[in-house]
Amino acid sequence: VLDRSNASTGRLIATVLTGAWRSAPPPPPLEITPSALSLVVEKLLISRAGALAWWRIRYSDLRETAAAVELSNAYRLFTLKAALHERNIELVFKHLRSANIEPILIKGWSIARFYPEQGLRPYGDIDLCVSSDDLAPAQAALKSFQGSAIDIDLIHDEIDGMGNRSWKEFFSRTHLVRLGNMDVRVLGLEDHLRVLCLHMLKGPRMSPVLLCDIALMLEKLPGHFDWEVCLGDRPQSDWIACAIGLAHQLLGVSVDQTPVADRARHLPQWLISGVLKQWATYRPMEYMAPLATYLRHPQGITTALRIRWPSPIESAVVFRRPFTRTPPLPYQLGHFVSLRKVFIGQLLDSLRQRSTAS
Amino acid sequence: MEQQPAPLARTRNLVVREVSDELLIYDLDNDKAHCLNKSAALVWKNCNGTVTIPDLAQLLASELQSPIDEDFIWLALDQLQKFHLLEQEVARPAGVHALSRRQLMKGLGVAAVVALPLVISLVAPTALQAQTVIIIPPPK
Repeated sequence: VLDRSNASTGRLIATVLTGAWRSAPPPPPLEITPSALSLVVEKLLISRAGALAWWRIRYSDLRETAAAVELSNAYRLFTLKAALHERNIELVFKHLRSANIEPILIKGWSIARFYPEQGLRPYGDIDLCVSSDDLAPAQAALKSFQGSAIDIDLIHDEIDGMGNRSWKEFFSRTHLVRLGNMDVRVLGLEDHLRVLCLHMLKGPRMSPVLLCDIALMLEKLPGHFDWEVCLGDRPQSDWIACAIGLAHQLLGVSVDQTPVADRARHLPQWLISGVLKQWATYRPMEYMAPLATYLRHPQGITTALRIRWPSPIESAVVFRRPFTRTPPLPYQLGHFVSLRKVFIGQLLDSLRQRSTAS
Repeated sequence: MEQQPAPLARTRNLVVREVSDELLIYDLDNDKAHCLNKSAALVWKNCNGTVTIPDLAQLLASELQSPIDEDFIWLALDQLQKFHLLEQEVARPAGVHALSRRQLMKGLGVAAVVALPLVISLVAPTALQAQTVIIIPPPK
């Protein structure tokens, strides 16, 4: 369900970010007013798309606006953070290699390196994957980083969901790329695009940056790109096709050269609305009071439940359903129940006690 | 004759990135980020501990294709010192007084304003700071 204001905010964000990942060819002319930009600047910053937005408006008249000052500062900060992040990746790779573990760098810098500048994209954790045999030794080796400013994530659903592929096969498609003074291992392009698509769809908070990553990648694909490897089996192949379709429909990327062009042009409406809504209502990470506290103090429970209500996209992915024309409401409900079963149990107990008491 | 000071830029524990006309510096000692405009960046880059203030003025004049005096260099050094971007404090020789940006601008004329050295501290935009976890209080 998408109200008009969410739809227009989401569309405005899409307009600002269309082509923002390019150095060439130039993105289409940006036709929005300073007041329209000021409406979405906060959302762009919160969803960490500020640097990309700055890159997009930097040669337009909008560069003189107050909103542009905020966006350019985000760009400067991201540029410095990129430098720090690269330094940290080198440290972590060196450390793991000294323990005879060869990690694969995924997401983050491994996609940022395709942007015209590394600071256009935000960085969070260092996402690495290792073979299941190396997982425990890697966790032990990385203990020395605990408590430091370097966060490392070794567990990734997108990789676990690689279908029937073996680690050996997966690893054989990786390759080394230069980062500062060393080579780091990154995914093969087929696996990389797949991981980016699945990562975007499965997350509870979808930043527009993730769709820009996919758009960028689609424009960088070489002629020998193996779509069969990338798409794999259903339902993942359908999800990936739809993620590509979102990049096409919201950010204007051409899908003519892809085998999923037809699917990309015919997406379920709820999927597009779902993404626009997530962009328009993007919130920072929140610590919320446990739902159980609302059993004694029911005020605010509606808002608390609304905030926790899962997105239709995430729910369909959790239940491994293809994206059909019908919104996956039953799966959202099922997803909500599976996430909140403790609370639901407590709620039923509380209702039972009340009815016994009365 | 009083010896001319030769400032030395601090390079330890700094992450530096050049972006178009600006130099961005992240100070790992205090987790602060700074942005130096072109002229401040030129001063910082040329502070190698051997180049004196008059030499710096000459260097910048040639780089920026504009007459630069020592007051201009001192304005940059004052800011670099303030943000801990020099190894040691540079003492002004006797008789050299600090000039404000305004005084310098008056002296140089409007055309020179763009080249005045400027170091600003980069602060995450308010909305970006909200990336950290926010806490919604429990119901009362």
